[in-house]
Amino acid sequence: MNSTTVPKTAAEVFPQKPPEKGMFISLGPQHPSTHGVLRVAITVDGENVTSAQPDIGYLHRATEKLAEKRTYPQIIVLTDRLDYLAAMTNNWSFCLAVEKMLGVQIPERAEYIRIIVGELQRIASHCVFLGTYGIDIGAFTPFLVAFGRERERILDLFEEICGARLTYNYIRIGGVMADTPVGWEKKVRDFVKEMWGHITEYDTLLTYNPIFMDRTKNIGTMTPEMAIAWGVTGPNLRATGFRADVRKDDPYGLYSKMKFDIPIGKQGDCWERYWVRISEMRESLKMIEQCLDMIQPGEWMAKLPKVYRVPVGEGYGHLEAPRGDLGFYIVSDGSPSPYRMHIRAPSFINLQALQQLIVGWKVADVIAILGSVDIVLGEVDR
Amino acid sequence: MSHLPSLVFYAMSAALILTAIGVVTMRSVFYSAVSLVAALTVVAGLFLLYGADFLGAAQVLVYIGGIMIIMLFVVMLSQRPHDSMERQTNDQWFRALCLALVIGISLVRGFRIFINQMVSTVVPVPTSASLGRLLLGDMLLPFETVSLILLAALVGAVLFGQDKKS
Amino acid sequence: MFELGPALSHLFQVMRSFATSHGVSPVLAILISKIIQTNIIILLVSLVPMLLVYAERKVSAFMQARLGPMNVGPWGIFQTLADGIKLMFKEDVVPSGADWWVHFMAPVVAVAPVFVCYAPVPFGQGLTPVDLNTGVLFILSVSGISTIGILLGGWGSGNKYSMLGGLRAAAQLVSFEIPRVLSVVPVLMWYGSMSLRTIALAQQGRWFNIIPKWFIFYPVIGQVAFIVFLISSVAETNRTPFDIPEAESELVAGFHTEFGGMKFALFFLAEYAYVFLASAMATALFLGGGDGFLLPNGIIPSWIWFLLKTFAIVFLFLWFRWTYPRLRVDRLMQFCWKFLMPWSFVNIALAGALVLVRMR
Repeated sequence: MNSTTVPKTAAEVFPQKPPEKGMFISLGPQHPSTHGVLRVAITVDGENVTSAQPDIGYLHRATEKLAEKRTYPQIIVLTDRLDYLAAMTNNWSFCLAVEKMLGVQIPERAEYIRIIVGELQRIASHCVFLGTYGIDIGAFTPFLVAFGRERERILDLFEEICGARLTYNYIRIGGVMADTPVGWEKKVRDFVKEMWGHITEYDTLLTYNPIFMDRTKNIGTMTPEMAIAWGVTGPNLRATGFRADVRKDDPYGLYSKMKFDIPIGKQGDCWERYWVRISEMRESLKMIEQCLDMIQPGEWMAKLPKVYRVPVGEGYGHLEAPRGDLGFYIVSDGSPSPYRMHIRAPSFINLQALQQLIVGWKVADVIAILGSVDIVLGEVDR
Repeated sequence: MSHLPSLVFYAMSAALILTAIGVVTMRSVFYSAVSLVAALTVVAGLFLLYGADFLGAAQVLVYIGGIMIIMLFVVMLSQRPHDSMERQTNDQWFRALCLALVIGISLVRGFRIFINQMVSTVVPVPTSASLGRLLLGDMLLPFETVSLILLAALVGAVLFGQDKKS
Repeated sequence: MFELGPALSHLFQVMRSFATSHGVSPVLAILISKIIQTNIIILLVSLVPMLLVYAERKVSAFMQARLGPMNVGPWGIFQTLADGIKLMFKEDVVPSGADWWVHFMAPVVAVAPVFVCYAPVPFGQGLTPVDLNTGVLFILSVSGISTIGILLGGWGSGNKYSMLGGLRAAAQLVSFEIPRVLSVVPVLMWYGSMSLRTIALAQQGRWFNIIPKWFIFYPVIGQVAFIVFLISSVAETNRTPFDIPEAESELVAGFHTEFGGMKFALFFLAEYAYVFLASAMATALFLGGGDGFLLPNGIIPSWIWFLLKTFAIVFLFLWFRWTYPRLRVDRLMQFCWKFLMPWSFVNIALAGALVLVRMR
């Protein structure tokens, strides 16, 4: 089913003349299902896809170069706009890298708050995935309940805590921007209690819907070997059966104290990638409840000098973002700005696997497979 | 007003003749197919005009709703750009015209003799029940034989249409 | 109570005698009254989609935790009217590579048959516009002509992908016509007539004084026939879960992408009119037409019962659309040929056996 037709030259990627056998279709950049400005150049022979090349760069904003001209606290604002559906975890990953290089100790309350907002962010991001994937398959209602109802409540919670709904700039180097407002924790508890029921609603509406399962089961299967060879991380990797989660393998913050499972799939098809994300939402709810039980009043920001310099050297910080393993690699030369910053964006790497993943399947499945990989173009193009 | 049926008949016949001419003379194959659809609809109308209600509805259901759609499929999938540039006639058109005139005149004379021997009913009666009784009563053997032949044709079409897998 | 049927026929009779007494020939009077009745049906068929579009938007909104149209008129009831006026004023864009005449005729051919199909439907007592003996066959055959309109639409778009989309849509429609026709055959066998009015009237009466003698309550054959008919009708009208031809998020463009303004409006008028027609047919064939339910006949007139039942089935159509995702094209065809069709044949055999039993 998956042949290894990985192209070697640019001429193979963007053919100047029509392919010998079959038809050339360009999916995007204007298409309702490409989740952003993405173009996938597909060659089709009858109903089967013979080659697929993603064409990216439509959303490139030179984030890594801009970072070289900004001080470390200013870069956090740039990181918000990478994976704009999960800005909290972007901020956190960058702060992990810088805090490792600075060697600063984060107060306990700040760590708990980070975990709470991080897991809430994961739930919000998976709600978007759930809604948009449903629309790709043709079910319109899950979008309005997941995206329109639950995610709005999470965004309201975030607006209370930091004033923004999408680009939070909340997790700072050394802690968080501000303490939680009065009554916020209770609202989070109420939300978590309701959310358990809503996830069951999604299961009834979409997950076990026979038509949905018919369109996603055994479609776009990925073996663990193929996933590791392409560098795929996140729910896509866990759906293939390979157990890898940065929160367990390389715990950051207070994740070593959390009790949670990692949902693992068996065969890595589209349905399993979807199911892993739904199950992850449940695990996130468990973690939020544990944090709310364990959190104590205290400091929310470490004592850092007003102007600090990151010592010369290199540092790498990574965490489990909703889309995969998000890492920041920073080379510092002692100045207030980094000498070089590189972002290991999970969506960029997951997207490459499409070149092998889509080949051999039918044209009607392309949308289902593309949607199940759950990419965000802000992260792909940076 | 009593001439209304005749008026309608002549109008429909004119429409049928025009669309039939359109089928064979139009440059684009697609337009010919669409003219054929129109012609068959008029034929169904003629059936209804003379009281063959089941036959008219069956004509629409089978011919237009089935056969013509398949024919349009074939036309749409096999279009070639230079079809509309081809000549519509060939060198033997004069001989064809004479042959057509001969056949046409013989048909008209034959029908005249045949129709004069027929009795015309004034009030149309519903035909479905009598057709059903006929098909499953007197004509049972021919009916079943025809369905066997159709089954053979179906199986043959599927066999011939398969991809030759090595 | 207030039966429209006898009142209307009385009204037309009065008008005809008024005309003849003033020197108009009787044949001409009949002709003119028939023309007026035809116009009433055309008006009805044009108004029903407006109502259905509003219903769809409200029902889908309430199912999705939102309100739907609220601005135009109280509770947004004039929304469809506003949309229709907007569509009428839109510029009619014909792509340069497209065939102008085919582009023009496609929506016409798609929408014209549906007006005719409403004629044999029994809207209540005495409210069948034209009671044809071959009513069921007539409706099923004439609604097949709309498929030609879709093919013309695919060709007239001048766009390879729209043409493929049109072909796909036509293949789907032609395939699902077969289970649709076959599922109706048990009803025809049982009642021995193809006239919708006769079938609806024959379903009056009660078993054990409680269960109505509707065809849907007949053991096995009634339920199977109804379900197969319902599913095939959902597929015939291109509604989700069978709406691959119309889906925007699929790879191949639908057949109506290049149609704008009034032409687009006509395609969708056809779709909603067919939805109502399929529901009306299901009501007349399986749910007893104007027969009452629970309340004794006479309190609520038959045409209101008919409308209630028809709208209940229309609600089913709407409910399916906003709950289920889309089936993939090849799975859809497999579902038709390998599941619906065999079950329709089994149903016909069972119905035949029951008819034999009844004859003894």
